[in-house]
Amino acid sequence: MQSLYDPFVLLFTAGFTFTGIWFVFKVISWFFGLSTTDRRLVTRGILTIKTWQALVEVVRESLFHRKIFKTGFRLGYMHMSLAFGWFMLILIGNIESTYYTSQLFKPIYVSVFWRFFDAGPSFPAAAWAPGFAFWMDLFLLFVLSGLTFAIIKRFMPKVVGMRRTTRHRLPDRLAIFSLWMIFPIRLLAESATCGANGTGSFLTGSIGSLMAAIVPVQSLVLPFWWAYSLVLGIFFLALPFTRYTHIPSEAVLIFFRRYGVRLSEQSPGYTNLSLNSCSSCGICIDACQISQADPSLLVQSTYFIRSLRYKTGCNGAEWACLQCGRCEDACPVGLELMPLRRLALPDAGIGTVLSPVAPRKSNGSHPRILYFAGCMTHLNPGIIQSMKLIFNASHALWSFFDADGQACCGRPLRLAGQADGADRQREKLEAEFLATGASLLVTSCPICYRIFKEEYALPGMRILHHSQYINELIEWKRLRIDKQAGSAAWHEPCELGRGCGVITEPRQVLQTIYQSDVTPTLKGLCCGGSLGAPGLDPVTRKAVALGAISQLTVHQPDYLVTGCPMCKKSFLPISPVPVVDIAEVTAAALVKEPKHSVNPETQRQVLVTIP
Amino acid sequence: MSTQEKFGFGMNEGRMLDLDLVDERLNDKLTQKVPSWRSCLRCGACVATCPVGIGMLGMATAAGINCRNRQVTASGNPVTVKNCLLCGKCQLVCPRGIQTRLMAIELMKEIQNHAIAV
Repeated sequence: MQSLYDPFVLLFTAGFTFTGIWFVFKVISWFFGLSTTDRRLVTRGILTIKTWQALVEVVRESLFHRKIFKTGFRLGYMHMSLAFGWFMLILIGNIESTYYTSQLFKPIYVSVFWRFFDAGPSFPAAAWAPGFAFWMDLFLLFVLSGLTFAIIKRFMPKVVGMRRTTRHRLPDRLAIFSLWMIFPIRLLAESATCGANGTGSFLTGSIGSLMAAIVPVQSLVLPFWWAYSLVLGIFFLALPFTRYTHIPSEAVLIFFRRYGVRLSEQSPGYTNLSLNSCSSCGICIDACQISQADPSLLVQSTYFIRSLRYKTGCNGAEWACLQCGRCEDACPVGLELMPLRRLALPDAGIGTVLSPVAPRKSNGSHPRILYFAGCMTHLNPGIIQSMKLIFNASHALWSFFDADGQACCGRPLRLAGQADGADRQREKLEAEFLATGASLLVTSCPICYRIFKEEYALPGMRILHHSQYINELIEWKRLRIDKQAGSAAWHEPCELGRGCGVITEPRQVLQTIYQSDVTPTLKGLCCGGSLGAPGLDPVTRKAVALGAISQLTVHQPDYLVTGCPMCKKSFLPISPVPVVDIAEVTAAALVKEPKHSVNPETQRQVLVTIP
Repeated sequence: MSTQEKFGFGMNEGRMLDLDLVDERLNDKLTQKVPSWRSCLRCGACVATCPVGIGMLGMATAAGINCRNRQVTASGNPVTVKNCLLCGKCQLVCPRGIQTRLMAIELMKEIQNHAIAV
């Protein structure tokens, strides 16, 4: 039997062993970096259906990259061909070598360099040989086609449907170059071997015979295999220091996530795992509105994660992210990018001293509905007046909770990383809400709505955004609406649509009120006024808002309708069409009922605010 | 006969603002981090809209940003800054578009780091 060893395999083996040891250490450190509860979640989850689900997800996402296909077909094909194609090469190579050597356990380099060891006369061509060679050639061609896309993408991202791609660090560039070299050199090495032995299939066989006709191919075999082993070795040696850590890390992340582990301050191991799982693919760059508003500002998640991972400092970028969540939505790895950002913000202890506001006294009535305007709504009095009209028109038993404008939901503090302050505001408000005994909480601010939904514990209390409430009233025929002429487009606030999944209700209201709904099909845009970015300058904010406006008004609506006082404030000064809140349009469209006369003064105010 | 007795009103003691004693260190530090702070007009719109009645201007004054040789000492008045809700109303009403939320966070960080204990 021919020897299954040659010195060139050492280069690959050294690199691979190094990465293997690194990975084992990392998995241990990730696991023990979890909090006790999270560790228990993992250990208890292993023997459940979740493991199988995670395995399916690993195949679906790590090999087939299904989520990237949603972003673009060519981009998805590029990622899939590299991941799935390479995996199949490894798998078929392994089966082939096991078939011929009849050894289940053998050094890993035997199957990696199988075509080299296979060449000798001691392995007579079996009936299977052409079959194996064909499939190996097919998948090699598959990988090479994806590689061509990858190389073109680096210089012309538009070819795969991306506007921009990540600017990489030097180690990443070295690793990407060695990755690019792996497959062409493999093709040359296999072709040379096949040419010398007269084996191989349509790809390696034909290139091999061509090479044999031109050059003394026998003398080229070993140099090519040395080169192949070298690039593999370099790639694996560089892997722990580059973005390619995502290859093994993402699988671990999927398992942990399936077992129910989530980002938290108590589990630094999971945070580190998340940082290692980012592939720097750059899909978040195109999703980010700032990359169009100010291309020089590298706040996108790929850069942010990199600065956290290599501890290079964020250079102010941590304060410039709008936290709209578009990147989180687009991330093919499914990283919790927004919580990750907030964990990285310094807690300066703001909001920890509660404001010296006198406790709200009950006026003796027991309202069923509590209206929470939110501080931003107080800058848009038209919304409050409209809500008053709507409540009265529907004969609701309601009470205005923050008429003094001095209650805070805590979300602005949360978005600025001031966790202690946010918790304290939440506790205070929770107690005050529950003391009223109301069964429904309606808020006009999506920012407040999100934290009420996500963090507040309000047993027995339904929480609605006013667009949902209006929709219910219309459905129950508690409001009578006059159909209005003209068309309207809905601007979906980040916190409401993407954040809380309130998508259909406002659209239904719009379709009831206006003759035509000309909302363009797009993923919710940020208005630029976001509370997430304390450090973003007004010029960039305006550029973000202008970009959003131009996309929203593409079908020339008569009105731009939104459900967020912040969005309204941001759009009003720059919008070519009137910007109105959904409560204001509803109030203006109400059928006037003489028997329930409304205060003429409030009605006048409402009408004044509606263009 | 004093002026008080003669005219029915008096004059205050002579007061002087000694510009040599003005400590601009905190102001400089914050201006570096939030350059737009330089354009503050001291108009007070932020104080008027603030739900807890401080406003950016109030916080800055409490921390003694402008004239440190007055009686505001050591840790400024962190309680006032800690009251801030970071709601961002001040930023929306600010005529100069100052990043007031970042300013509040940076100011609090400086107070915590005892950078202004002079």
